[in-house]
Amino acid sequence: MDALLAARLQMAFSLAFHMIFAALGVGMPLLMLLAQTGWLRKHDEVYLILTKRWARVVGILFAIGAVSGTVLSLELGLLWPKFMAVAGSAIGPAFTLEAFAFFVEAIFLGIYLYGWQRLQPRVHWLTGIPVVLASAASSLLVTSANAWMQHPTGLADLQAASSSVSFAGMLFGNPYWPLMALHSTVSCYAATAFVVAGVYAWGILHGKRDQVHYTALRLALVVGLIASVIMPVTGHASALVAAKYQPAKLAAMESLFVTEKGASLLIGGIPNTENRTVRYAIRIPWALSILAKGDPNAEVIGLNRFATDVWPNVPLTHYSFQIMVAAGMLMLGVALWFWLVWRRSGEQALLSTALVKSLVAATPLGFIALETGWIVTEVGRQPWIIYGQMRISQAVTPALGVTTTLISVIGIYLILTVSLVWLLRRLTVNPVAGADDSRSDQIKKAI
Amino acid sequence: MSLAEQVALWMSAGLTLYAILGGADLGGGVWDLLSSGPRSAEQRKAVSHAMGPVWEANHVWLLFCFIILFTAFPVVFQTLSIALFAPLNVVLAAIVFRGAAFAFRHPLAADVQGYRQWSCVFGVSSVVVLLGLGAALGAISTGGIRFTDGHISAVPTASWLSPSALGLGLLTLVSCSFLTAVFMTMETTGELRLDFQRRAVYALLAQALVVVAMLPLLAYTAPALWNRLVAGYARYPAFLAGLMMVAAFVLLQRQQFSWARAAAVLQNSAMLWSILAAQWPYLIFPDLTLANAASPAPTLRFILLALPLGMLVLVPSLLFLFYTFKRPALLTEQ
Repeated sequence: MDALLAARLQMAFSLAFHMIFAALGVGMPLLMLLAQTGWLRKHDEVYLILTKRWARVVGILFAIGAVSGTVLSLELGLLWPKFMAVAGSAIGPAFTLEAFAFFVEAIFLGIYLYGWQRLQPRVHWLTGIPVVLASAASSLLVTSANAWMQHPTGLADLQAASSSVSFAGMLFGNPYWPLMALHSTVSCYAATAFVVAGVYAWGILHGKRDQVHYTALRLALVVGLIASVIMPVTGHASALVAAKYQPAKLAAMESLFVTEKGASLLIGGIPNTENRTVRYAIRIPWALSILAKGDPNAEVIGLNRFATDVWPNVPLTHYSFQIMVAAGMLMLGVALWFWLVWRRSGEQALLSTALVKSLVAATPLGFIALETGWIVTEVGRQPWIIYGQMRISQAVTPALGVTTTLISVIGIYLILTVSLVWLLRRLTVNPVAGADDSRSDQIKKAI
Repeated sequence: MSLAEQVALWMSAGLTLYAILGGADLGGGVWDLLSSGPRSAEQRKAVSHAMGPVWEANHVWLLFCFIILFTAFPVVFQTLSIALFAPLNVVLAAIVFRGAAFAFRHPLAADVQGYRQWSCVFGVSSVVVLLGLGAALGAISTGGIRFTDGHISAVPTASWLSPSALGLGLLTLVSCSFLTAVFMTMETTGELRLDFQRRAVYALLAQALVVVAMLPLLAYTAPALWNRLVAGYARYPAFLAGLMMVAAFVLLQRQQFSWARAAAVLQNSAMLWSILAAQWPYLIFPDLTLANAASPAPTLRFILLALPLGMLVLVPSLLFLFYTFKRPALLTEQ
């Protein structure tokens, strides 16, 4: 296999894998802390059971997130050495700040997970707060590195070692950063919430109609509803930024081959890059101009303004974008449905098999949206690794053996996934053998 | 002192902390693998227990060093990524397996199917990480990597697979195992403590053997490094390391474990410092130096501002972590 293709696949696969654990690593601590808050306030054992169960899951997920994150930060150099030689001085500061956030998270997670018996209950709860905050901070900070790759400001000034260079401006004053940071961080909460809701809905569907399941579902869907309401707002705002700074990406997302005034919004459709047409799409007249520019007659730049060698992969960007939007809308719909029924009939709501089955069906939607969203961002940036400045083909490593490392990475991550699923099933199906049980008994006695 | 030199000092401090904290964790894997005798299960349990709350944080130091490296000296990161492509990938795979294995086996009871397999993975991958990182350091300091006119190449006779690089890998392995065994004497009591005392002494003797074998090897195969080790500032930490080796041996025999721990920490740090001092001012001998590989000044100034500010958060958090889990009063409860 061609080294560039192998390197791209390896990066994509490593990132997609890490993202799952990174997202759960942002979302699960929040749910865990919410459950513990419930326990401390209401002294209802249901909350304690959930807190402990989720804490155990967080411990395992965090370890996988941490090692796969270490892999990524080294892969930046191993796969794209020339990119790091140029971009290191610019995006390194973002990683430096993220490292501190990650450090704080690792430290307090250690204290939280192992500190049940060593700390007063309230102090123990307090040590969970830095975990929640630092995991969100890691996510917010590290996206500034990606925002810079999309919109590389200040590179020339930096290389000239000009004294006017400000990293606050380069990384956090970047118009891409605030929306991207918010959109991708909130998506972590949405993805986690729907997975958790789906797991407990599955239990309910299989006869586990108890308070543990009901409470877990409710907690997850509080987070799920809030997150899925925010997502379309930040998503729309992100598209506006892309329209302004990366028109080729927006055109690929919408498969807009020809620059148009009063452009239509396409729903679905199969783009054909050869003859530059889209078949079977639902067209909503003027909608794209309204969404991208706020004016029904505004001109939206199409792919015809760009040489084909700087086009991103149009079908992949287009399909990913459509899937992301659809998944986002479905999540919002399911969350609203749940809360409408719940408000009316409380726990009776869960007697509705249709609702519970929909929740089960919605399990992967958050992760589908998260992964396809990143495909839009990253594939839409192609062929650039630093937008407009360096092509990925210029950045790839000359070292031999990228195909071997690609196969190894896929193999290793598959082994981990299989083992993890086995372990998580073990922990949830017959929760806790031996040591942990006695520990939670001791805590109950202590409290 | 130049900005690049200041950053290099921070990085050396980060490396020292990784060598001590991360090194002791990795050594934990070695003793897990080598657990034996009537208290084999207890030895494993004690290692797990000591590592549990701290191992994640201990490993962030490696990431911390890599991030400073690619921020402040991006060309060096590029060069290492290309020249050490194979060993770095192997180390990465081992880091992944090690972290996963430790996390996966933790919720399992020791007699359950799966625990033993994951323990084995944990132990073997710990050994691989230690050997790999040590050998990579060996290739860097013995002149095995060249950067000429933007072209990166590896010198076949001084690669990470050369005798002196592998020797450094072996030295890393035994040194970290020694450190862990000494640490474990402070985490255990009774018979178990004597087990680890014995292991510490064996590891120390192994370390002495490797050092003795390495001396002529380095003098012969890497004369440049050798001259800097024995003639420059590097000889002071090297001398300190030797002194601390003897001190640790005596203190272990006299069962003064707390002092032995201090000597072991100082000994391992001093060994690293002697190599770092012999490197100075080279990042990759002989082509890349602190001066010619540094990022533009604004980046260096940013790091030099961010690091102390970050430490204001990090140091109290770390102290709280170690205070919570390594208090002497609690250790005697076990």
